[in-house]
Amino acid sequence: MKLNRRDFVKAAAAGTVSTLVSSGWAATQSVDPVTSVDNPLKSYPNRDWEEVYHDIYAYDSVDWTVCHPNCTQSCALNFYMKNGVPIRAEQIYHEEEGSPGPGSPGGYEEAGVSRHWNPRGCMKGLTLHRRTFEPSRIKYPLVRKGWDPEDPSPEGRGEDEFERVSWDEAIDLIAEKMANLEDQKRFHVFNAIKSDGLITRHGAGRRLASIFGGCEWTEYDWYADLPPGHVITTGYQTSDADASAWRQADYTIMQGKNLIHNKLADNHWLQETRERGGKMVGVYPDYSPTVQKCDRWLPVRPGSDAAFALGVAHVIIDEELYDPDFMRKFTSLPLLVREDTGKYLRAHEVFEDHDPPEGGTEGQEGLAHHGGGDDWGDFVAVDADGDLTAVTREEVGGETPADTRLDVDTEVTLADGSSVAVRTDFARQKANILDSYDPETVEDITTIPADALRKTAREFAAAEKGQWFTGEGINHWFHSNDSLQRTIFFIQSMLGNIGERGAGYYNYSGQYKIELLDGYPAYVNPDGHSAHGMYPGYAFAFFGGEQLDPHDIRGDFDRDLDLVPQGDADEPVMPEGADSYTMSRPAVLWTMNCNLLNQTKHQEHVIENFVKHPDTGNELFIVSDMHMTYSARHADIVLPVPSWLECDYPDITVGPENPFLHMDSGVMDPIYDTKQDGEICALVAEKLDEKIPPEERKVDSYREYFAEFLDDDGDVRNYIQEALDAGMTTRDIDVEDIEDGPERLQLKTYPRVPFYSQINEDRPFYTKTGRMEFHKEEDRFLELGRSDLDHFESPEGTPYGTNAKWEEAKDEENPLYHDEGYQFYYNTPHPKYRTHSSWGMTDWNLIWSSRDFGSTNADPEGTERLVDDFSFPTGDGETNDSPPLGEAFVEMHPEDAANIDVENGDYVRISGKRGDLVVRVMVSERQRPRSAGDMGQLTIWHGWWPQHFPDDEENDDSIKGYNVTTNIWLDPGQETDDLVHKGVFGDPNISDEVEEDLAWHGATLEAGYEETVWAPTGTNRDDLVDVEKYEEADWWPGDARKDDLVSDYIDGSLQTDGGTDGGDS
Amino acid sequence: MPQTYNPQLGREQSYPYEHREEERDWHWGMVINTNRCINCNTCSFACKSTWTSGEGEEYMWWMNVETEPYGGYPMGWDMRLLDDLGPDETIFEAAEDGEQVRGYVAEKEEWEYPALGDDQSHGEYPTGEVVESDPHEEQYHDMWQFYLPRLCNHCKNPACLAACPRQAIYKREEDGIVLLDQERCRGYRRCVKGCPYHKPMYNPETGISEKPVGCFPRIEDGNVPRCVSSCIGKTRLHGNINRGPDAGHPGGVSSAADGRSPINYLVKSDEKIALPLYPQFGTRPQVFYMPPYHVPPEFLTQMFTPNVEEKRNDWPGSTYEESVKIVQQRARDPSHHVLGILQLFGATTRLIETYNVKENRVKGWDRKGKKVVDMPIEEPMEVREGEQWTNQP
Repeated sequence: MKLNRRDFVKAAAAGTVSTLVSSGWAATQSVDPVTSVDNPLKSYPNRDWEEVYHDIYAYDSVDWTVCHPNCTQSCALNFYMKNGVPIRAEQIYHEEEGSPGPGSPGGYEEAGVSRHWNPRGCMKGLTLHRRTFEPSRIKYPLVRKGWDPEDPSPEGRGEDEFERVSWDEAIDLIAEKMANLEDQKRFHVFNAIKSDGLITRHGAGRRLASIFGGCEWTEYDWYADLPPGHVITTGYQTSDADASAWRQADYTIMQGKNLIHNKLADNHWLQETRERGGKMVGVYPDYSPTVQKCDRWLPVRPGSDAAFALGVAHVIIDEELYDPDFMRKFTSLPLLVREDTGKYLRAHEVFEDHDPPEGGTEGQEGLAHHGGGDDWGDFVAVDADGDLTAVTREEVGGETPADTRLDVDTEVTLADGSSVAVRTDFARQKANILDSYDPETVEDITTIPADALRKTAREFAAAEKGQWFTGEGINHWFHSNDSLQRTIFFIQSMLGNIGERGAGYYNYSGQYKIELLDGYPAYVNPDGHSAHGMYPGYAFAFFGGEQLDPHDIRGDFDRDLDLVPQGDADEPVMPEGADSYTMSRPAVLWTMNCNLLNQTKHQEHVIENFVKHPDTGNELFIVSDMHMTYSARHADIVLPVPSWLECDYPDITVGPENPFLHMDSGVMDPIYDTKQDGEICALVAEKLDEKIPPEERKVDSYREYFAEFLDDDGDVRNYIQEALDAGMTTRDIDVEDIEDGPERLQLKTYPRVPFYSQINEDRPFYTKTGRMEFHKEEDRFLELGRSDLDHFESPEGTPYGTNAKWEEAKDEENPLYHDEGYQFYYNTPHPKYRTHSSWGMTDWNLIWSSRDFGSTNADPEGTERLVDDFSFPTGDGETNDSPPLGEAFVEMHPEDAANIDVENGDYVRISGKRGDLVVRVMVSERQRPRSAGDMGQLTIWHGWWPQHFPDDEENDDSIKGYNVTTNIWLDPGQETDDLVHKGVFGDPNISDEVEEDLAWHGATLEAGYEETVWAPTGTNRDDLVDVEKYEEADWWPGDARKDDLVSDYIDGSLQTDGGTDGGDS
Repeated sequence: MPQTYNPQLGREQSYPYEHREEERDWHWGMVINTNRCINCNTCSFACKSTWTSGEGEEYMWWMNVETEPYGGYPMGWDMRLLDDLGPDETIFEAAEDGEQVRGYVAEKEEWEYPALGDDQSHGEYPTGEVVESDPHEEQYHDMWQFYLPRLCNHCKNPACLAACPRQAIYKREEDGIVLLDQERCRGYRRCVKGCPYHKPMYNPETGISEKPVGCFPRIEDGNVPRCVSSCIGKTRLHGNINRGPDAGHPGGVSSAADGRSPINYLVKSDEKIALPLYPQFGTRPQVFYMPPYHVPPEFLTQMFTPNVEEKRNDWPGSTYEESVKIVQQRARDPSHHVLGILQLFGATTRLIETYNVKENRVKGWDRKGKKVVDMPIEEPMEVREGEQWTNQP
C-alpha cells in the first residue's frame, strides 16, 4: 500500500479513512451503561483508580551510574530499579535535596559549580537500559571457526561462523599468541577514545601493552579528529574551554560545527549567549540544525572555509581593526623572518655577542631545527626606534620588549657582515592576505557575499568577547584542518580574543582530553614502561597485503616525496630522528571500546587489503564489545563486555567541555557471560606469566600489574586512587569522594579558559618562540609552500583545480568533476540519536535516527531485509534478530533529486572513486543544491550499521556502509618530527615547580609524534561522488512539500484564506 | 450549551460543561522557550520510558518534539484541523451533529513515524545571499525550521473531557490535571478523535484509550514532570499558572517571596513573553511557548494566536501578528527580570511556586515556602593562585 501524508489528508477529507483501519486498531463498539458523573470539569466521584499510575511510577530503589560514550560529556544518571531491573533513568541534579540519588539526601553536592549545569544527560543515557537488553548484545566469548593460531585464514573474516568458547579457552588462545610473538611490538591495543574507561575498562589494555612492550593507538588520531592547526599555532593539543565559558561571549561564529547535534548535555550554555545579548553567526554549506539558532547564516562552498576566515582577516587588517598591543605581546607577528630561508631570524645571527643555542644550529643534532629541549636560540624584532632587539622565548606578554614594530620590511646586516632581507611575520601575513583575500575574491571562492562577510568581520571585531567554533566536519577536510584553524587563531590574536572567559577558539572534537586527568600515566605507564606509539594513519594505509601506490594513499600529489614501498615496514616514510613511535605491523590487534571497521574511512580498502587479505600481517584480530558490531563480525576472537549498567568494577572519566571527574559503577547484575576489559587483561597477564619464562619478560611478573583484579583481597579502586594521587588536577580527591557523585577537577581557573596563564601571567606558549606562531619555519611547511596562512583547494572535493591556491586553481577544472561527472560532495556529519555507531541498534534511538523511515513497524519490505541482514552467521554464536525499526538514508536537495527522477523514499546508488552504496533518499531542502554554483551536497549521518543499508543487487561486493566511498590520505604536512609542542600531560612552564611525585614532574617541550597531539592522521572527507536512481520505493511516507495544504500552512494562510473547506461546517 | 469566557480569545465560547465559579488556587502549567530547544528529544524519551513502554504503547509518544513546518505526530495533525475550522470558530462551535467536538481520528499509519520531518527546514537555498534575522528590524529567516515540543496541555476547556461519552475523563480539583480513568474507559476513542492536539491515544492491546497524566505522581511529591526535569536544553519551567500577583506567601512562610509564580509572570504580566499553542481551537491550553524569533510571524500567528483580524484579548499590540512580533522581540532580548526567571529553567527538579530576581541572584520557593533555588545569574570566575597552578590543562 502506498501511503503518504497527502493521502491521509485527502482520505480524511473524503471520509474514506475507515478503509485504512487495521483490525486491532478498531474501537470497541458496544456501549455499556455507566454511572453518571455530574460535571467532570468540576469533580469526579471515585479516583482510587489513580493508583494505576502510581504503580507504574513506583520503583524499589534508585542506583546511579555515569553515561560516558564518545560524545565527550559524561553525565551522572539515576536508574530506577524494579525487581533488580532498571526501568528508567533520570538525570541527577547538582545541589538538589529531596530527589533520590547519590549523596544524602540527594543530588551531588561536591562538584562546586552552580545549578546552571543542571541537568546533564541526553536521550541516549535515558535508553542505556534498553541498549543493555537489546538483541545485538554478545552473550559469551566466541572464536571464528575458520581461524587457527597457526593459520589465521583471514579470507573468512566476516563470513565464517563462530563457535562459543569458555573464557579460559579464549584467554589461553590470546596469551599463547602473545607469548609466541617474536617482536612484542607487534601486539597492538586500539581504543576509540582516551579519557574514559581509564582503569578497569580499555585503559587496562594500554597498561598491558606498556608492560608487555606492545603498541597502542587511538581512533582519535587516526580518524582525523585531531585539529593540527591548534598544535601548529600554539603547541597545545586543543584549546577547549568549559562549556560554561561559552555563555559569556558577545559574538559567536559557528563554522561547520553542528553543536546542536553533538554536544547535547551542555548545549544550553551556547543558546544562552543570545539571551544575554550575544550574537551568533553560522558558516555552513547547508541549513544545519544549528543555523536556526544563528542570527545570520553565511552559506559556504564546502572545502572553502579557510578562505572565509582569510577574508575576515582581510577586513580586520585593511580597516585596522586589530589590537597591536596584544599582537606584540602574545604572537610571533613582530618577529623577523628571513626572506632567503623562511626561518625566523635568530639573535645570534645579528648580534655578535649573542650566544647561539646550546645544541648548535646546524645538522641532525641542531636543536634549532629538531625540537628537543627548549633552546632554539633567541628571536629578533624591531623596536620603536627602528633598532633590532633580541626577544627570548621567555620575554612574552608583559615582558615583551616595548613598542616592537609589527609591520617591517627591510634588510638587516648579519653579524658576519652580509645582509639579508627580512619581514616581520605580520608583514608577511598582511601582504599575502591583502593581496589574495579581499572579500570579493573570497566571494568567488566561498560563494559568501562580500558585503555580508565585511559586515560580519566588522561586528566580530567590534565585539568585546568573540568566540569561534569549528569541529570534526572541517578537521576532516585535507587542507581546512590546518589553514582554517591557523587563520582563526590569527584573527583571534588580532582581536585579543584569547585567554579570556567567553573568548577563544574551540574544537571539541573527541574524547581526547586525558590531559585533564594528569595522574593517568601512573596507571598506564607503570614504573616507566610505556607502550610504543603509532602513527595511526599509516596503519591502514600501509599495512595491507596488496601493493598500493603509497603516493596515492598519502596525498603526495606531486609525487615528489621519497617514499618507501609499504611492504617494507622497517623503513617506511617517517620523519627523521623520531623514536617515540613504531611502524610495527599489528600481528595481534585488539580493539576495545571501538567499532573500528564501521568507522574506518576507505572501508573497502581496509577490509580487502588489511582485514581479509591473505597476506595481511594481522594474525589475530580480537574485538571486545557489547554488541555484535561490524567489527566484531570480522574478528577472530570476540569478547563480550558488560554495559555500564552491569559493570562490577568502577571506573573514572573526564571530558573536554566540562570540569567534572566522574566515577561510574554498575546498577544491575550482568545478564550475559561478560567480563570487563580490565579483568580480561588481568587474566591474560596471569596466563602470560605461565607461558613466558621470567628471563624473557619485560617485567618481573605481568600478573603483578593486575593483582587488584585477581587477588581475593584486591580492590581496583586502589589503582584509581594511585592515579588521582599522581596528578595536580585530582591531588586532593579521594575515591570515596567520587562514589557520591562527580567532583570538580582542580584546574587553574573555573571555568577552564585555555591560555589563561599565557595571557594573564606572562607564560610562554608551547612553541619555539613562546608565542602563537603564524609563520612556520619547519622545513616540511616550507617545502610544501604552507609556511604562511593560505587557502588551498581540496585534493579532490572541488570543481576547480585541485590542491592549489585560488589564483592557480580558479581557472582549472577538476577532471573528476568535469569529465567523470562526480558532482556531489559527500558529507557524513555526526548523528544526534547515536554516538558514532553506539545506540545504532537501540530501538527508540533507531526509530528517531531513521527520521521519515523510522517506525515501530517501519517499511514492511525493509523489515524483512533488516531481519535477514542482521541474522548473525549461524552456529553456536547466533544472536537474536534485531528489531526492524528503520534504515539509513541520504539527504538530497529536491532539485537534485528531481533531476534524476527521485522522490522522497526512493533508492539511489552513490558512487565514488573508492566504492559505492545503495541508500534511501530523504529529500531535504536544507542541503546545498548544485544550482548554488558548484556542486550539490549529499548528507548521510555518520554511524549507521551496514545492515541499515540495502544490498546492491547489481553490484554485490558485500561491503556496505556509509564509509565505502570515503578516503585515507596522509597529509605530508603533518609528517614532521620537528614541530614543537607540549606533551599530553603536564606543563613545561612549571614542571619543576610541582612535586616530584606528580606524574609529569620535569616535563619538557617535545617535538614530533605525540598521541592525540600531533600525527599524520590520514582520513579525510574531501570525497566527490556521483548519484543515480537505483529503485523506486514501493512504500514511502510521503513528501509534504508537494501538498497545497502544506504550502498554505507554511504561509500561515491555511485558516484565513487558504483553507479548502474552511467555514462550511 | 453553556457559555464560558475564554481570555485567550477575548470572547465567550460554548463548552459542554459549566466551569467552577472560581479558578483553582493551583493549576498545572508550563512555559517552553523554543529558542533554547535543540530537538534532542530527551523529554520524549524520558516521558516514554516513564509512562508508555508497555504493550500496545509502542507507537505512543505522549511527549514529542516536531520540527516545524514539516514534522507532525500524527502526520499533519494541525493542518487538517485548521483546514476544517472556519475563522474564529472553536472546535466546540464547529462540532458536527451528535458530537461535542470537531475532530478526526488519526489512523494507525499516521501515528507510526514520530520522527517524520525531523530537523528538516523549509525554503529556497539562498544562492548568492545570506539568511538573517533580527526581530527588532522585523527581519526573519527566509529559510527556516524550528522545534516544537508537544505534550498534553491540561486545558481549561479540555476537548477530550468534553468528547467522552462515559464521563471517564476529568479535571482534578487540586491541580487541574486532566486524567482518563483507566477503569472506566471503554475505548470509544471520542477523546482520541476530539483532542485537537492528539495526545489521548488508543491502546489496541488493551482496547482502551490512554492520555498523558501530567506526571501527577511527581506533582503530588512537589516535583516537576519528567519532560521538564529531563530537559537538558533548560527550555522549560513548570508550576502554578494560576498564582497571580495578589497571592500571598506560599505555605504562609513570610520569609518566602509572595506574589505570582514565575510562569504566571511570563504568561500574564505586562511583559508577556509566552503564547498558547493554537488558542483558536478553544480549549484554553496551559502550555505556553516563547516563540522562535527567527521564524516569519505569519506562520507563528497562525500557530500561537487566535488568528482572526479583530484582536480581542489583552495581549500586546493591536493585531495578533503584532503581538507575535512584540513577543519575538522580547524573547530575543529579554529584560533582566525575564532573564532572571530563565535561570530557574532546569535549575531544580522541585516545583517552584514563587521567586524573586535581584541584580545577580535569583531565588525560588516551593509550595511549602521552602527555598529550593538560590543561585547567581552570572557564575563567578575562579582563579587559582600559586606558582604550581598554570593554565594546564
